[in-house]
Amino acid sequence: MILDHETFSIERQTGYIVGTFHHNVDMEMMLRLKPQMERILPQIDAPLILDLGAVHFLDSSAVGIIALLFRHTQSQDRMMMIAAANPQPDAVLSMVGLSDYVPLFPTLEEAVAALKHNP
Amino acid sequence: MRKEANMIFPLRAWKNDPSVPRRLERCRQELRYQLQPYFSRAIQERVLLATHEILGNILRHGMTKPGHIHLDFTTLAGQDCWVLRDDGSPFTRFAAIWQEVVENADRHIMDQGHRGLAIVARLWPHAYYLPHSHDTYNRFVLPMAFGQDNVPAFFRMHAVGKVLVAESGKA
Repeated sequence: MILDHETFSIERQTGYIVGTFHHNVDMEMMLRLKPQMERILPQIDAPLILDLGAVHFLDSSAVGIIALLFRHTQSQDRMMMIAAANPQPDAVLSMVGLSDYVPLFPTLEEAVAALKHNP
Repeated sequence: MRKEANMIFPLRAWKNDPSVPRRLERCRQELRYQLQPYFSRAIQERVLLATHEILGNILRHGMTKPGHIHLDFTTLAGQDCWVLRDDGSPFTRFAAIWQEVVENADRHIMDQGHRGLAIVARLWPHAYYLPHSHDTYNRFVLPMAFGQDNVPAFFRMHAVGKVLVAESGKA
């Protein structure tokens, strides 16, 4: 386990890393989470899949965390994917332009399968 | 929405809770409950997200915290508007910051601060702010018919005039 936070965990799998949001993120959680995130960023050294299945309301706080991870994976020339986005998060990701750069998959399993076909 | 009567949500349920996240979440819940009978899903989601971001700014960053916040659907100069009124201290540099986030929303969303305002700007680029109006309330005004072209269908308002009319007659 790379990060085990009440809001967000990051776990290494064979050949990829999965980040899981456990519920909606708010600004105060994001401010507590961000220093920990910045410390563990160097450990994100494989393709990253973000599981948004438990998020039903995505606001600027969560967008900030996703943008931080996106910038890191870009700087490492690694792929980032998003899985299981519910309708509101899906629309926000589209509106802020992240879905132009980050492929979205209906489920985590489909994201993993796509990664294995296109490592 | 009926033109003769504004819909006003005084947000009683969360007013005494000092936790900003809980207040915002309760506001979202109460607002969704109030909006559901009258508005399409797209309008609900659009109003909820913008209100969440603006209230977060007011509650976290206002120099003097507001004692009262009112959320109104009303008509201003013939235009249906969603208006957030608060009696806290006004944001003095708002105009310059708003212009900057409207012009550079992408950069603010991906790299810089004011991310919440940048999201509001994406949803409502024609929104405007009236600090300390005639009744000493600040007003954040979101005109309902503008700013739809570049948002995902999930947030897009169709046939605004009809959708805003309360079919159940409860408004």
